[in-house]
Amino acid sequence: MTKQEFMYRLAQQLISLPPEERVCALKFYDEYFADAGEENWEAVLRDLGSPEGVAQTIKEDFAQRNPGYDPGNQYTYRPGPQYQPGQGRQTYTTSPETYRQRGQAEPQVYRQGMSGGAVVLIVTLLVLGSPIWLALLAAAVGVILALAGVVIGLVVAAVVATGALVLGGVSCAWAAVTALAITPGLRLLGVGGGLLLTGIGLLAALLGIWIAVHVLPALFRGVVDLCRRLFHRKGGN
Amino acid sequence: MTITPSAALMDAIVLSVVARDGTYGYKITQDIRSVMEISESTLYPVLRRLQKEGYLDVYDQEFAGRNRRYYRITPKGGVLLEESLEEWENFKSRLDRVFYSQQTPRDQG
Repeated sequence: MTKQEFMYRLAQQLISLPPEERVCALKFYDEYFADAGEENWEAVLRDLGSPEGVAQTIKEDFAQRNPGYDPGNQYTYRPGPQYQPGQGRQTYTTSPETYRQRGQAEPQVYRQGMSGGAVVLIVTLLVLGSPIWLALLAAAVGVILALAGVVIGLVVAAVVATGALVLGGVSCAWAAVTALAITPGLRLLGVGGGLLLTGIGLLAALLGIWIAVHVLPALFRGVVDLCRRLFHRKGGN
Repeated sequence: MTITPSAALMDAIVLSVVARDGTYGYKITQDIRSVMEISESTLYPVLRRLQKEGYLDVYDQEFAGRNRRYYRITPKGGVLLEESLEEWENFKSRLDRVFYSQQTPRDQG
């Protein structure tokens, strides 16, 4: 048996170990041969005996440290709960309890049961589809801004109109009272009309205030609710 | 007659060899083989276990154009070695009493 043959058969025998354990053992024997020097390989091989026997001692030791491992098992070992992090292959799934103990936020991916592949797919779609959804997003923002503009415009118009009614009414009445050369009937008509206009204006102002206090917040809430339902379909999450 | 060291004694021997100077697998094996008969395949599992249990640690250093893994004893390993040596002394003196008490009665004290 040559050194190459020994190493090859040893590697085959250790296939059931986690890669880190396997590599460490193979590295040890590879270095061992190198340090012994080629002239001693024959003696070393004779003393080591069969690679299967050497593999057995390595696997038995690993099994003692890792109760979940069965040295007879030819399939790759998957670490169980007794397996300590930092040793061998890293295929653990961090449990929600672990996150809670560490005081860390549990990643969204775990809770939704989404696989790594699904996340990658979604990110890829988002990036590739950016010309479409960016345009849609811009359009949506535009519509919302336009609606807000209309509402603000209406409010400003209503305030100005109400103010004009009140001011106009008061000026009219004042003009009728202070006018010098008019008949008493006209003066009465002027004062009456002015006061009427002022009253209508004040009523309109009250109506406006009532709308501002009661209707607008409800409207606003409705719009926000609509947006929330559009953007977060799983509302209440 | 061949006296085979127990696992605990083997641990102590390895720790003691590594403690003398930071050293590598082949040399540790040869050092031990120079005083007792062990197979060349005995050592790797012992070294690996001592490393995993924190009694030894390893570092890689280049030697003759390749990497060589060196072992050194940790403080935890030092404590274990000291305890083992103490136990060995007790064990040895008890055995000595059995073996030699007839020839040297004053050792019985």
